[in-house]
Amino acid sequence: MGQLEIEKIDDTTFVLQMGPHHPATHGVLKLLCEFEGERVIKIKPDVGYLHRGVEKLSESKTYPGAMTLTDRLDYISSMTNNIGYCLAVERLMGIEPPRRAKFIRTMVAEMTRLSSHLLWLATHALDIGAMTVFLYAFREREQILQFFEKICGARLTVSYPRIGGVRVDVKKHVLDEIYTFIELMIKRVDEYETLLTENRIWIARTRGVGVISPQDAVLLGLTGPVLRGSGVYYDIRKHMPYDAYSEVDFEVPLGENGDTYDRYLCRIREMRQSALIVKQCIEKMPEGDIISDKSPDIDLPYQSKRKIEPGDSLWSGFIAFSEEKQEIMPKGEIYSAIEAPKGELGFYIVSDGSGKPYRMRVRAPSFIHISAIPKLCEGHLLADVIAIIGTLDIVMGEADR
Amino acid sequence: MLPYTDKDQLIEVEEGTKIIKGSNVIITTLDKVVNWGRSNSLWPLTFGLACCAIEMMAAGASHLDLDRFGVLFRASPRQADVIIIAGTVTYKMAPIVKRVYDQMPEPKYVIAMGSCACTGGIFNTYSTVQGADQFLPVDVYVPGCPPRPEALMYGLLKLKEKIMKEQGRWGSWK
Amino acid sequence: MSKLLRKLLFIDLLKGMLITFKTIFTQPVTIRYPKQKRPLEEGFRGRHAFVRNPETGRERCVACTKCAQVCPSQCIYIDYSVNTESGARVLTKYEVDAFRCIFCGYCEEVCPVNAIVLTEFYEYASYNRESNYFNKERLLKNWDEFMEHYKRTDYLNKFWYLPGIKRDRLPVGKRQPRVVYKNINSEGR
Repeated sequence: MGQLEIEKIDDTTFVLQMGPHHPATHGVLKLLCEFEGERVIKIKPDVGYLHRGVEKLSESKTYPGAMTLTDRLDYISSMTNNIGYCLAVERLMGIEPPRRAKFIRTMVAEMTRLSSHLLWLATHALDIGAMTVFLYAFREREQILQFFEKICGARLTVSYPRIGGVRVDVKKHVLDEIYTFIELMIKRVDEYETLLTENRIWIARTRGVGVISPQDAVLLGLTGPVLRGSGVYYDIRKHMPYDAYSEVDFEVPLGENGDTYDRYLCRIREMRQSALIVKQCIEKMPEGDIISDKSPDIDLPYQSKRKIEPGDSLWSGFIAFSEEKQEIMPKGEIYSAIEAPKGELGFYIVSDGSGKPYRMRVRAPSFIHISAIPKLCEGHLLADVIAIIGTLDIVMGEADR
Repeated sequence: MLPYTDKDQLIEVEEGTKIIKGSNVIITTLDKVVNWGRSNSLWPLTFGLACCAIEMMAAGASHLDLDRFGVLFRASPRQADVIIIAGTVTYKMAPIVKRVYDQMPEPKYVIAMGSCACTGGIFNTYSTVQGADQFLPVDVYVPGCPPRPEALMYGLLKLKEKIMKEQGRWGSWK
Repeated sequence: MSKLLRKLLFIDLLKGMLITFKTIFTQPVTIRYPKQKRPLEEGFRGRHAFVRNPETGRERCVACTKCAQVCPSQCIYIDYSVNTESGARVLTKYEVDAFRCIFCGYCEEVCPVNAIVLTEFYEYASYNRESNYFNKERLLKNWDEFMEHYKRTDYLNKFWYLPGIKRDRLPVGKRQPRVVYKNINSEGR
């Protein structure tokens, strides 16, 4: 277990261990904090309490099988994780999903962004002391999960996208229902804003807390709304468009001061933009195929089967196997990133030609955001540490993997 | 020790437990009252580990209000009756889960929620505990990955049924 | 000036409270679970079952072991023997560990004869680990239990038919929707 090196201990300095069982740490994050009175001098995050070995485990699964593991990385937004993984494999194989699949993917990804931001809003507000927002946000989130269940049969761990498309088609009446819900959703976002944006308690707890300059944010490798809250324009959906993002019209909201309040405003505006993207996707949804012809089947073999000709002995068969190894996947390596609700979610995959990834590495935004906690918390009060953890929107499943 | 030495006066209700004849009228009534009270105020611990914690929160939120069953989430283990192991338990986390469980007052119950807490699920790896029942006495297993909030509620109702069948468990002294 | 006035009159807080006050008069969203259940969506991935073939009364499985191959959590255990005369495979053991399953639905999607299915049933929490370790008979029983509470007479799982996918991508047995009809005679109706 991690130890904090204490420079001086006197009457006013003490060390507090926060977590891993603490309702405000959003999972199993442990923070070793050194305080002077109530002011943070030093803080050290300790991660690894949810290390499940996803990257290692994916080396023993086939490409479609490893997709189910990505569901459980950032379990709040599993749809975008799946899309990120599928995009990486698609780029490795050089295939492209059909147009309808692209639009469906964009739609569900933005719905995931909505649900992820709703959960962030709920827990962040609950930590700071606004209970009502928690209940309201979960009311809408539940409806989004209901739509996921209609589309693919599961609420959280969806496994819906497929390498080269999506799994099943979305019915027309479901699209209509989503459209009516999204119109309601935009009104609901206004409600949350009325409850929080001008609220004096909310402003007192968030404005000026956890300020990070654009230069520092870039140097720390922050992405997503945390970076955009500091006013840096970086969004993979705009810079390197994937799926159908080049065909829909949306804005990237930016903050000014880089404090907790600006990041809150950023995410709220992003929710509005996501709702608009979903609307546009439904309006522009083309007819057609949902899966590419070249996409691999889910019963992809682990290794190419050896050819056994009649009369072959085992030994000659072995030689034939080792020499005539067919490639199931093209050899090579790829890094591909998407804009997940938390930030840049990247997948680095090395393929050796077999049906399993030789190496899979996940660039998880939460892990990099945790590294910013010491910088953000410096000189703040203990109560502000809670607000800062909330604003970073950390999911430990993704950070520890 | 009971002041009665006459063997005929005692009847055996459980293995090793003997009670005075006739007193079971009082005891069973008391059992019912205690179990009724206990089963209607199950206070779980706010203790999320992974994915299932999100569904646990959803079960406590507006659509499926867990407060209807007297299930109120408490943040301190000292005030909790039930610990819901909601998610993957890793070898690094297991001692802490154990310590949190040990801090809870008797009587305490354990619900293993989801595949990871029941058997380890898909994560059959070097760092994952293969089921919470390897170090905790689990009362109810809720399957699903993650279970629907309704499935968790069903698990809680099953636990309620189990508590209603308990005998002579009136306190930690037993 | 107006800013100060708004602050003094608690306008920001009152606006928020107006929303909460308005919500009192809206329809509550809470579902009273044990009495009132949310209708499950078609294709929800719940408890496992073996489809009982209405003609033979037995399972449809042909022991191709594809489901065990694709299962990411490796929770399906199959054993089979080969009939020496006809060369057909005979299923001798089929076990599913429901507690290890992650409900991805790959097995029902890959099954060429639509034998295994994840039914829309989720209330099967248990007191011990063994009771949710399904063998062949138990899987068939799960199907009967599911069909008992199933309201409609025809059942077609979404992942058997995979709407929207080109038919020639699928195995022959899945190209046409194979609807399972509820055996009405067995209930005496």
